[in-house]
Amino acid sequence: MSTLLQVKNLTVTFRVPRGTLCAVDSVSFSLDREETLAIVGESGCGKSVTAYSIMGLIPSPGKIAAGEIVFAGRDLLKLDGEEMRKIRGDRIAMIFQEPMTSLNPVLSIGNQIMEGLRLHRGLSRREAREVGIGLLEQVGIGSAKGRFDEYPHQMSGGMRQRVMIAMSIACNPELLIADEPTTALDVTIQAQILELMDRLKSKNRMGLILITHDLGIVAERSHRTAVMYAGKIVEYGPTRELFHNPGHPYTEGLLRSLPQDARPGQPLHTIPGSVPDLLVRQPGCGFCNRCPAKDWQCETAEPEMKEIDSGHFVRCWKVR
Amino acid sequence: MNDLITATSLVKHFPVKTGRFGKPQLLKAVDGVDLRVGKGETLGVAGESGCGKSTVARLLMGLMPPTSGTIAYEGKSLNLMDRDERLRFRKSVQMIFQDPFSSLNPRMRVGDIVGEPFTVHGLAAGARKRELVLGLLAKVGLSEEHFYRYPHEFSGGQRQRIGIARALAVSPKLLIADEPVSALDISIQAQIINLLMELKREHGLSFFFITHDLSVIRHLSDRIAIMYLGKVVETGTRDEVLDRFLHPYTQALLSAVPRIAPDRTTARIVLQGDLPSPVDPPAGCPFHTRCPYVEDICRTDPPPLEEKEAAHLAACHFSTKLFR
Repeated sequence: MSTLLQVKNLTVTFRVPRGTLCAVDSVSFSLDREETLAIVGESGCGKSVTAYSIMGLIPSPGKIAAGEIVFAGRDLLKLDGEEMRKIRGDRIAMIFQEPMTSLNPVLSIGNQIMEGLRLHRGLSRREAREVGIGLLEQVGIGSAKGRFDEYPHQMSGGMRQRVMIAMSIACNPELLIADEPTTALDVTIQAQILELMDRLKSKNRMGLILITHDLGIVAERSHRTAVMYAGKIVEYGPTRELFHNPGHPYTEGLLRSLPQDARPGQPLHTIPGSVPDLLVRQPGCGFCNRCPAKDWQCETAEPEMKEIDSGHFVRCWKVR
Repeated sequence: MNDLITATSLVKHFPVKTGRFGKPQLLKAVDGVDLRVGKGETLGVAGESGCGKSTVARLLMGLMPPTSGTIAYEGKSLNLMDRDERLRFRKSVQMIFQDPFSSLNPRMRVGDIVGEPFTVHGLAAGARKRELVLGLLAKVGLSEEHFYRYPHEFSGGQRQRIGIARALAVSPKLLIADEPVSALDISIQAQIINLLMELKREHGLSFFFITHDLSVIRHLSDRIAIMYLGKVVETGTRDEVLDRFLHPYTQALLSAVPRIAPDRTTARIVLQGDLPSPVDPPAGCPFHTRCPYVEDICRTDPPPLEEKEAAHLAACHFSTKLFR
């Protein structure tokens, strides 16, 4: 397997009236072709901002303060706008979280699918239309010819999400980033979409970054997992290893708080408290105010990533 | 009979227009539903979006009249209640909403939000009201310092606690919870689930608990009803429905849930296609367009919801043949 993407010490800051907020703090990971990396964490932990950085789409008060994003041998952060536009949507594509708001309501879905094909591949309208209809069939939309000229509001949520996927894979991207691709969907539709993404991945030798808060999806679909908390990766490793043998108290707490394996009616395990305010910078470990195992060291100094097993890294003072 | 609330042959149709000049058609949101919630019992209701579960909740609240069918509270039909009885009913049934961001008035302080039911029902005012509100806040894990704050100062989990405190203000007997934990992060979800279970134990509350998350349903429910396209397709006790299901839709729902432990022994059933439109539901069994076991009779004859085993009802022609 070859490395497709390498993110090194990515740091993204946002300047807001109350100060400077570090949404992503020295995040590093890598992704191979045909590999699925899951990024999990609670809202506000920086998983979506990480994804937007790779796409070069950090919104205005935000700034990539440091780091490298090496994609197929080139640092994306050194490219100018024009070069990035050529890659975005062509070699790197993204499925956005909300199929309801990410499609343009006044353009037919066909027009939106053809846009990338005409721009990046230079196809004529007729050629793009043909490829586009083929894409809709590929993602499982019946009578694709007829639906090609429909508008987003004429489709159900599952259909729209499939249209989003068709758009994102139109140019056979090498890297696909899926930000909560199935959160808005029902479980039976979710199962369809996940199967579809897996199929496309092996067909196109694509690398997939799957951002989700559903640990069931992570366990079933990903090879490696990065757990983020308050802007940092706190645990990173092979998915099976990480689920069987969680090294960070946050990962362990998350796994234990799921109702899935608890005895019905018994109180669930909880992680007390809530996520820290990212504007208030504290020394020490970001998780220490909620951690059951903390001591003086955790409150004074920030732990480094430690390798506890081959390829399994944990950011915690308590592991050795 | 120990039923707190019962719904019999409940139907709710909405007129909708298709296209600008289209003939008004009927959207059959709820199409013949029988349900009951016993005293101190949690009925978990699961199903995909558009199956009618939220409409049933609004009908049970008395927020809109059913097209046909009856709802009875403690044995008395809602239609036959006089003014006092109706007021009492309104107090006894309260709702917790899905979205903790839009269900609280952003211009009211927390103390006023939680205290409003006391004013509306004329139960308390002034210092007495304040005292009661503080008691409620403490009960849901908030403190006195939160009394004068506005909703935007709170996280999703805390807002959900405020909504729960407001619902508890009038000492209800039945709480209707429409996806109360779906919008929350996992660690917060567990906190709210624990709070709801604690309140149920402490006050003997009944719950009508809607969610699409089957692991949450398993954890909380005494009995379960699975809905599909405006109908209940299977209902029974928790373990019966989830472990000894008798309907192919329940089986498909369960198999579609991604699981942490890779101990899956049976193959996953991936249903093809989407939920059919409730404006034009399929003839025969509503599930036949997506059912992997469909046979000719399913396309023509709608299966009735029948008692297949003791206290376990399913609406499928082939329940026994398929699953026993």
